Amino acid sequence: MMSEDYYQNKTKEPDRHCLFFRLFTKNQSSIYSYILMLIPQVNEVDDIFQDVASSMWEHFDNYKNGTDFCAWGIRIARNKVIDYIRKRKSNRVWYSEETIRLISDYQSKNEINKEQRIKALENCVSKLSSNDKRLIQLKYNQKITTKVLSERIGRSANGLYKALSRIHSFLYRCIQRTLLAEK
Amino acid sequence: MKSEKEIFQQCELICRIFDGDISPDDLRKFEANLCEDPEILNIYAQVAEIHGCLICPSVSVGLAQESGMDDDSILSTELWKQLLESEKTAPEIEIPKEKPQRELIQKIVYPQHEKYKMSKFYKLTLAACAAIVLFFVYMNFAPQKAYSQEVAMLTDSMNAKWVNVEDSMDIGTRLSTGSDELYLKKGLVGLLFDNNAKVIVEGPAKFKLLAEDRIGLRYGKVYAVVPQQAVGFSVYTENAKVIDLGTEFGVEVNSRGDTYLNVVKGKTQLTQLIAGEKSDIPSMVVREEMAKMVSGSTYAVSNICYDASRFVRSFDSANNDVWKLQPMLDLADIVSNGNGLGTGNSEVRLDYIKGFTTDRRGGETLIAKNYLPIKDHPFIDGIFIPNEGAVVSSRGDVYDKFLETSGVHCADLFANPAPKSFFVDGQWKTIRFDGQEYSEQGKPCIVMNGSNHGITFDLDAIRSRYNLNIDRFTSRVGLMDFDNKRCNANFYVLVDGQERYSLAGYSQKGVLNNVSVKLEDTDRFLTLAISENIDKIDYMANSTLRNNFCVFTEPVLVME
Repeated sequence: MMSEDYYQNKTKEPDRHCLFFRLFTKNQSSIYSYILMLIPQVNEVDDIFQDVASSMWEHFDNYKNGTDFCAWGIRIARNKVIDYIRKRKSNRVWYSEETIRLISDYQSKNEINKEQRIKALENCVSKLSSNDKRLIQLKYNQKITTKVLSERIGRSANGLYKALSRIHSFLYRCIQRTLLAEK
Repeated sequence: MKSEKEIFQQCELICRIFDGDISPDDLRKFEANLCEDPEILNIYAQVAEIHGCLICPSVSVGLAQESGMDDDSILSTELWKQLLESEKTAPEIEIPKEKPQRELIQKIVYPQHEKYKMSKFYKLTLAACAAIVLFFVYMNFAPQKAYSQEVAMLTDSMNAKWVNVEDSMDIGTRLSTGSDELYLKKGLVGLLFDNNAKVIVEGPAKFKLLAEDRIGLRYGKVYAVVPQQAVGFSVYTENAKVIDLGTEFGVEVNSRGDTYLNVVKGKTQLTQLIAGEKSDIPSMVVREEMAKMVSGSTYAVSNICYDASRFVRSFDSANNDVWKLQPMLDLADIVSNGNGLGTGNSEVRLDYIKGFTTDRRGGETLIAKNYLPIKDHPFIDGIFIPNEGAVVSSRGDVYDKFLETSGVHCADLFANPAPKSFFVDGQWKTIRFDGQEYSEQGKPCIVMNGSNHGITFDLDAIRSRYNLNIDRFTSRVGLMDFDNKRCNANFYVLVDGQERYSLAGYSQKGVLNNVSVKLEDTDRFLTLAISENIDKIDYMANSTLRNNFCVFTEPVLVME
């Protein structure tokens, strides 16, 4: 039976759980992007991402406080992705192990500038027109493919790809310019 | 350095790859380019990062603010910015000067008194009295409450009855940690924690606010909606702890001390369940639409059936609305002059000349060429007979793909009829599909008997009334299998006069066809229509008008 003492003890829980969630929230987009680069299909990334998150929590005792949480998470993600591909090898075309290694190496080198890039992205998104913002909001908030989006809003999928590509190429160039200017 | 055109092409290719909209050969070619060209790898990584930032809601990139949507992470960022600005301009705080210490002027020595010798009995009695005095002093003056901090506000209350609560529990009451356990004997209360976590407590329940990010539950039900800035919000029970990262979940503790956890929403977020005693604590992630039970006696964790209706997910005391499942509005109930939640009257019909009526008409063929606004019901914009170039809303939206019908109809529009309402071939018949009855006693349906029919619903009015967004319209449409006569009908679902679903020239009886139409915040009018499908307008000779027993079964608006 729960006593008043039980309630009191609960107010003094260690910070370990809070630490995990704080670190996870801050780094989840990087881990998600990494998985997406290796398994380039949004529909499949969610399941792997949940597996990775779950595994990170279960093994959080192995994480050394103060070390690179994102790098640790990405190591777990890489193993999960390789495992995922092995189980579904024959189903479709996957990136080769060499490509996975190349992407992983690139990711680890570029993690340094992540904060600046996200800040630059925030600034660049603010420069989009309201229609463009609405479009990427529709696509990404609902996490749907371009084809499904095209059915919902009554536009051709090809037209939407063009629009999304225009937005992405604008954001890409804007981020590059912003980073260059900061140097 | 890639040109703008090349970057654009790469971005398009990458978007297609991420959507799975690329052939295996093209993916192989892209992979080869990725390995050879560092700039393509850079573009690929950048687009993936943009995807990740836009999909993962914890990263604010200013989207929602511009669109006007309520994005908690955006508001949080803005709030901190405003606080920072106010800090810069806040007035100085005067720090009082320290008072100078008094100096010792003279040391005074007092002569010692002769010690008084007490008997042993007297000493014991004195000690006992002192102990009693100390005990009473402690009970009266010892801190009865732990450090108390206001952490939440009571935002709503429906039929709530509290026990042993000294202060009033009106809406707006601030609640603190450190106070006594709260006992809600019955009813519903809504709490908003200062970190923006929303909790509904359903009585009977005993609970306590432990901190700004945690609540203890002795028994009863709580349902939590945890936005991104409230990550880590936790519900503690006797034998479990639920930690949340941006999901919606319900926790219930019964009289045996069993803890039930239902995770309702949270695809890329986590809900963590930690169960057991002290050092032996299994912990696991519980995903969306999954449920676990922690035994009150053994602390064992087991899977249980996810029950979407176990918890009240939202309520509104002002309108007496209580939502357990994902809110859904029954359009058949609205056609019966109800509010969508079961208040309709199946005796009511919609006449294309008079509007709402309880008069039963005969099967005469009448003409109604104009759109008839329905002023008696806020959710129904109007009704009309499909016809070439027909107006389908009070705003004047026109759908020009109806076949010409000259505006004829032979029946009113109604919903949820009583069983055996249809007299066909000398028999009274009930609407059935696959053995399922559709009537006021069965599942709901809108009857569009004897095409042609059209009805338009005002989605804005519905949103305003229930303060909810509308996710989609769903239904199953078909022709009742009452007789062997030839039928041929067109089914339509329009949004703002634009076709979103159609089933043309349909003649198969007794089979229902699924309809699902996604709705956006900007969609205003939803139209459901049936029209007779004939090549030549000669309704007396070739018409299937009277033979088309059409129906929209289970027509609902799925809210969110």
